Amino acid sequence: MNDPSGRARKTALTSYDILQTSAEPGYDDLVALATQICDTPVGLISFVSSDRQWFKARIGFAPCETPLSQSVCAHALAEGEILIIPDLTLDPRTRDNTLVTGEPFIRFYAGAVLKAANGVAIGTLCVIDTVPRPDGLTPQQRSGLQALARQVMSQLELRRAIGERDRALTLSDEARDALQISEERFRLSSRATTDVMWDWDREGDAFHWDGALTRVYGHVASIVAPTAAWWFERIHPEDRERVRRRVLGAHESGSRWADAYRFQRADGSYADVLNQAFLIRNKAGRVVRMTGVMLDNSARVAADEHQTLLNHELSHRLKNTLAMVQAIAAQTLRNAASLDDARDALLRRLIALGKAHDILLASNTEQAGMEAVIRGALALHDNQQAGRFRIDGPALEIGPKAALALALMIHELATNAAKYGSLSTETGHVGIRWRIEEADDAPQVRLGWTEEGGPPVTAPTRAGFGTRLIERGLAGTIGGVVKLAYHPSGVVCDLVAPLAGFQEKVEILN
Amino acid sequence: MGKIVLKPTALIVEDENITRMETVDIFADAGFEVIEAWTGDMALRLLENSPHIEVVFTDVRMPGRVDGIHLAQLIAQRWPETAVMVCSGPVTFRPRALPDKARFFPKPFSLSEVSATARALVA
Repeated sequence: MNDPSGRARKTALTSYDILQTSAEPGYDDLVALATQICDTPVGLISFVSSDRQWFKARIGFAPCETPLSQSVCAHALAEGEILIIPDLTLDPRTRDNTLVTGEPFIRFYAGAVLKAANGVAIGTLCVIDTVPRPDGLTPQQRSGLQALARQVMSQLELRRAIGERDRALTLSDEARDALQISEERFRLSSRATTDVMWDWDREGDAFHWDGALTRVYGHVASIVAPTAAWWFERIHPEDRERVRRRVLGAHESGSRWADAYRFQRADGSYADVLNQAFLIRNKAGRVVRMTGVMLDNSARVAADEHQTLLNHELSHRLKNTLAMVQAIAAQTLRNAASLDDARDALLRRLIALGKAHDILLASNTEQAGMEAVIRGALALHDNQQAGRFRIDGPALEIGPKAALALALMIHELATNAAKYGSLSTETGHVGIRWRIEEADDAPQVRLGWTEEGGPPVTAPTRAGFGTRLIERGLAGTIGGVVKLAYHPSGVVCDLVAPLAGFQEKVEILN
Repeated sequence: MGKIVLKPTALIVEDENITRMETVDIFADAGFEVIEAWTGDMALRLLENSPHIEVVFTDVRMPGRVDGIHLAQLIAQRWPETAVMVCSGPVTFRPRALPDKARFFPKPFSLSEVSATARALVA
């Protein structure tokens, strides 16, 4: 074995002394729970050695080991936390695998990576289906599978700790130190997660939480009553009866219980938790113990909710942008002399709009620099002559609405100038200057467009869409006033608008 | 004897300027006298100060205290004779929140459908 990760894996596997051991109920139960949560016919705990993968526990799969060439899990080790392949026939890593191309024709694979305390990946807890699953796992199934994978590691750590303890008890003081180290290792490995392990001795109603309860939820040991009643009181009132019913239902029959509910933190707020447990029965079949793990799913739930909101916001903005483009197209057609004119004018307007969008998207703050927006809108009209555009003003970040409207306004001014004004000659130029002024109540922005060096201009006989965009596009959006004057020396356009209007942000997720 | 034909009045409520410009033109072409507002609050002031507005066409999400849904509800209570047309991107509200008589148009909307509906409402 030449690769370092392979060597580290071999060392880790040797330290757990797990390969070729016989089946144990603890591991079988975890696999059963994984197939139940993920609703699959097949579940495996697989350890990947140098040339084979070996299964500590398996459901729905006959061989106890396979060559590495048939291992999907080996790919999961490279993946980090979890590998989900919705359709194994479509993935280049697995489509030629003989378990895919032949019996048992496996199609869907999800494997949570088993990591030793030192971070080395040694295998997976995986579930497999014989039909593809385009949607993979739900967020709950995914986090459930990962929680169970951590439980597999806890079992391995515990197994190693017990082995070391047994040896230590029969050996010297030196070995006793090793016991301390191994117990410390177990304590540290369970501290590294946000999972809280608990154990309920039902006979004596003794309920024990591990230290993570304090770390994750803030409940200090001194105020935690060691009873099931204390646990139930921390469950959100709306969830409590349902949880109680399901726990009692699991006591009637079955060996496992799992539920998701809201659990109160010490500060009174609630965490979304996923709680799973094994039920241990006496010979008469009565439940004497429940032992489980409660994991904090809040971050996942909050991320899902945020994602939903963002998708919704995106959809809303897309519809609004489409409505705006629709209006621009309709207005362009309404005012056009010919279809060719309309096509050209529409394309140029959409390009100007698109450039402003680019500038807005380039910053993550949904703001755009005034100068960048103006230069973007003028790009179509630049003949590369020095001094064509004389742009001058203080740095000013403006909001998305103002940026789009400003881009369209500048584009229309430049379009007119190119047809009739100073940009229709090689030497004509335009000054675009702005400054911030203190007005009576609030600061305002004064923006001037001044054409020079072109032919004499006269006012157009009718105001088309372009003129409306100049006079009302930006001013109507941010509450300003526009004066458009056709001086014989060239067009002059002055806009005065409140700075607050220029900088207004779109409320997100309201 | 000559007949005086009074144009019906439509109020367009839309915060996006170019969209509002086009909507105003659609209603003007459909034979309406058009007034416009860019917030729900501004629309309420116009409703309070105008003698008669036959149709209100409003966006849903707008800056200010009164959004399009709230505006539609207020109009149904205070100006029951006024027809309400509501347009929006994705439907973000419970359909029950809209008054029974209000008509809904998803964005982007069909120009001819909006125009035909507006004309039918005042026929």
